[in-house]
Amino acid sequence: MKVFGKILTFVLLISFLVGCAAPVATKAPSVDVPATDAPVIDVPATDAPLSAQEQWLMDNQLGQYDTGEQDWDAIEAAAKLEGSVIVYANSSKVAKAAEIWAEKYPDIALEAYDLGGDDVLSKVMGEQQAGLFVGDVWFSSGGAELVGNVIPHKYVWRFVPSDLSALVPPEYTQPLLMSRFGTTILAYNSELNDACPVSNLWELTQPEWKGKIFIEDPLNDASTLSKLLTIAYHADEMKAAYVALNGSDPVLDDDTADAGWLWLKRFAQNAPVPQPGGDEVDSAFATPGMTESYLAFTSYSNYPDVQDGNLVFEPCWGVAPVTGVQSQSYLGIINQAPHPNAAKLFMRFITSEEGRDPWAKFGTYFADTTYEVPDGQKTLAEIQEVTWFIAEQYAYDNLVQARDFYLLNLGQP
Amino acid sequence: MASLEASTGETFVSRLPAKARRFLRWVTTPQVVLSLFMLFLMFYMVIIPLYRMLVTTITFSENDLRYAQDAVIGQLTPFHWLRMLSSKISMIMTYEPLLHSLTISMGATLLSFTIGGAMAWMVVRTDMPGRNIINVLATVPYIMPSWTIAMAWKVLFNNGTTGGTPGILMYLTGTPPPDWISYGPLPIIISSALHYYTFFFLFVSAALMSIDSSLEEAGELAGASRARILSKITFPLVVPALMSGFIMTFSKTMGTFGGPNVLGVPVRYYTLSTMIRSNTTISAFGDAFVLAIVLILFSMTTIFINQKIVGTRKSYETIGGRGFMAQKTKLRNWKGLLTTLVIIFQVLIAVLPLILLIWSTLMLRSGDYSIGNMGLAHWIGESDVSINSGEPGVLRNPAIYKGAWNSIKLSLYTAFFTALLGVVLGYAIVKGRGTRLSKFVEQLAFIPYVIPGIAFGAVYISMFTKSVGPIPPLYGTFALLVVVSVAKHIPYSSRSGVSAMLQVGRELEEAAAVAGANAWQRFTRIIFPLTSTGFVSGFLLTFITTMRELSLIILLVTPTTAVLASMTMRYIENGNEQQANAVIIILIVLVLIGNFIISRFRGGSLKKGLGM
Repeated sequence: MKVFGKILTFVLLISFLVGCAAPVATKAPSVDVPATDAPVIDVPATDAPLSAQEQWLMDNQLGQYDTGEQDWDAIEAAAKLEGSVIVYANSSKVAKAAEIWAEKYPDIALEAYDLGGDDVLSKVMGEQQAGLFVGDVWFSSGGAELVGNVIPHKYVWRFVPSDLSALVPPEYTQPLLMSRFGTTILAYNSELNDACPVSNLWELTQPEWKGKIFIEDPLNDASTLSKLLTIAYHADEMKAAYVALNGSDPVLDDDTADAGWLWLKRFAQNAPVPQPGGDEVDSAFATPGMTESYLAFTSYSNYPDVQDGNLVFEPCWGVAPVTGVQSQSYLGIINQAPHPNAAKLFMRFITSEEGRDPWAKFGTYFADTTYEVPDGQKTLAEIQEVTWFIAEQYAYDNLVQARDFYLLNLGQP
Repeated sequence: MASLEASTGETFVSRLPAKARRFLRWVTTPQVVLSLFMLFLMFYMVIIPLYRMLVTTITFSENDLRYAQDAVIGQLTPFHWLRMLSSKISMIMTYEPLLHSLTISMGATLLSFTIGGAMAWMVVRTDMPGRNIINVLATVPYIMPSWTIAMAWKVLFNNGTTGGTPGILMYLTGTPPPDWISYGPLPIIISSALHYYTFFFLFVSAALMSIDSSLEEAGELAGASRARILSKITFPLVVPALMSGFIMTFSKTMGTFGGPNVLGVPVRYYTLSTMIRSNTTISAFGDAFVLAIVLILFSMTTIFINQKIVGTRKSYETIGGRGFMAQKTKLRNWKGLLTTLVIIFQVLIAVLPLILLIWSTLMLRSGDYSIGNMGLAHWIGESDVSINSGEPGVLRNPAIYKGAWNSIKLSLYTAFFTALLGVVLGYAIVKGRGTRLSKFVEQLAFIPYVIPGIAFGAVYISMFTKSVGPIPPLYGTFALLVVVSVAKHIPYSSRSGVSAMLQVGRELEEAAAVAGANAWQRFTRIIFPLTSTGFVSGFLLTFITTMRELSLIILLVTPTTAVLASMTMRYIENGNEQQANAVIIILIVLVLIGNFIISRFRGGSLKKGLGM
């Protein structure tokens, strides 16, 4: 049939087009790994012309050229020449910080974008992979992906303002400067209980708490999953806690390499109730006027809602081995940022007392050890006694396995 | 492309003159040129994304090194397919969620058919009063965010199984409603159906309206029984409308997120779209795209089977030269009761959620419904630490204005290009009706409908960070948002374009051709003026849908391109739900204003935008 011939010709024409476009398309997956070239560029002898990235690092004393010393007059002068700075943040309060900045540095326009953690991540990754250098400052968490993906690819560089280095313990400046800490804690309904009804994380795996623990759905929230993985990561401490509770060593299953993963398995089997978000978790276990007692993993910074009378919960401070997991937001200079000096100036500003003021409220901590917490809040040292620091690299390496493992065991007998 | 065709054409000419000339004549007819042009566009907007998804599922990427032993980056592998379809997690990650998705979609579609169909019949074919109000209210649920009804369900029927305070029902009766009422498939089906019944309502009422009673009377005169008239005349005339309603509702619920999230997650009733997101959040894109492709295949198969059962879609000319009379069934004593019931129903699902939404933005502290707790702090309040952790009111947030402007701009651009493509598509498909090329274009135009928005976004982000063919890297530009939105809405526009074009009789264009008008003149002087209502309607529908679209562009939005819908997300992430609700209200108001203004032009309406 003639029509068939026409269609055939037409298909041929289209396949020409496909032919033109296909090479681009097949090559494209390699876009995912452009930074593999970068280490190679580091190696050449000194007389070879420097790569753009290397030149940028040298000009701005970052990376291997970072001496830790800074001439702030020079930086400020250079920043004024640059005229603006672009910040990618995960907090809407950055808008308030921008107002303070505008009074202090009227010559340097601060474009602060409140994107949310996931979007800061995908934006920086996308830009860097495309070789588009737009943003200056990373002011966001990023979690496991930051440690496992962004930093190895050299998409963000470490920088510590010199006046801060005396105030911040060195461990809080690796791999990037930490700006503030949030804490996820186990908490109980304080209207129905005088004290926390559990004293050991292993109790969460016992039958009386089956289906009675609320958690932000680890299936859809990589950060919650990372926190559970942090507990699994501390296998020895979890083993000791098991012994303290039961008086005997835990019996491992075939699919659990250590006591940490055994806890994760038993926890999942005990059918914790997932909620789509943190607010849903809070209203599920700590709404005033409830009749049944539940436990939940919630954020310490939600405690002001308790002080205001909107929620009724208290943290389970005495739980062995820990009450929760601490996570952090980072500050760093985005690779080949167009305004590196303004970026440095912003980092010094946002870690100073006036710059960080919008965040200085109950439940939040800063890496700066001189910060005094509000009344009634545990100090950073105190809260670190009862929490673990999030194990980001471990989490990144095990996210997929842990998600599968959790899902397979979820609510299973 | 033109040069390519020409050169290929020339070689053909030298070898096979007769065939080539026939081919050349074929290839230069307007509808074929337009079809080819649309194919070319859709090649970029639809085929390449699909192709990229497919490639991602069969190659190892760097992220896979974490969990695939001895993976080599870039190597071809069945790994993701095997993992998703035949490993120990495939039951729980693929098949069960797929079953859930299908259950919800089928259930919601049937229920919306019942609700929408019944209401359409009452409005069109009875003498029920207040039909205008019912008509307007019927479109409100579609404008509202899909999770509002799910939230309302929770407030009514919470039984405490998943914590929180008891729902209103439990409070009144003292006994908790059973789990199957509070959570899981049934409430998801009901809340989705209440949200999407608008499609069936609009489609069926338009179809019923277009049935000339004289057709039925003719049947009666010929001695057919009432049942025979119904089955042989009325029903076949409504079938295309039912089909369209089925497709729209089914594919919408297949990819929907809001209801399952609120009512499904707490009882671990996961759907395929939840699982896709679960994989994208941990950068397991290979796995995510396998699930997305499974979702697409199942949507298409279901629709295909349905099409086969109902019979191929037919078209009926609805514009005739003669007078038009539809007989109305008299409701008699039932009139008052039915009208009240319908209005109460609509108030419950459209007006009440809206009022609750507004009320929540007026509450200084959430959950306290007393008058003393009311104020405008979430709207115009300055930063006050005692309210919402010192977050200033939304109208004091400069980003809101920018976001609103971006939203409007995006919706207008998208609506314009989509409507334009719609007219072009309509012309190409209708004029070439019956040919394989036309069918192919029509089917291709439908594909974006079944690609989940989030998957679309994920592909576009990787596709447009580098230049593709002649197209420069678009990432971070506003143009990309427009491109992805236009691509996603091609199915809508092709529907409205086709149906607008169907109303223009062939003889008009033929008459112009005889009088010596060329293709361009015929299009600008005859076709376009006659179909401009369709253009405006397609414009309106796309405008509304783009305004509230989130999942599609969430991955592509950048600081300078943030839109209102993505800002609600930010407020929610920061725990400022009331401000988020305020932004949603702004959005609804903008949509209503847009709806009002746009429908002033040439009598376009949402209804016509749906292709009727």
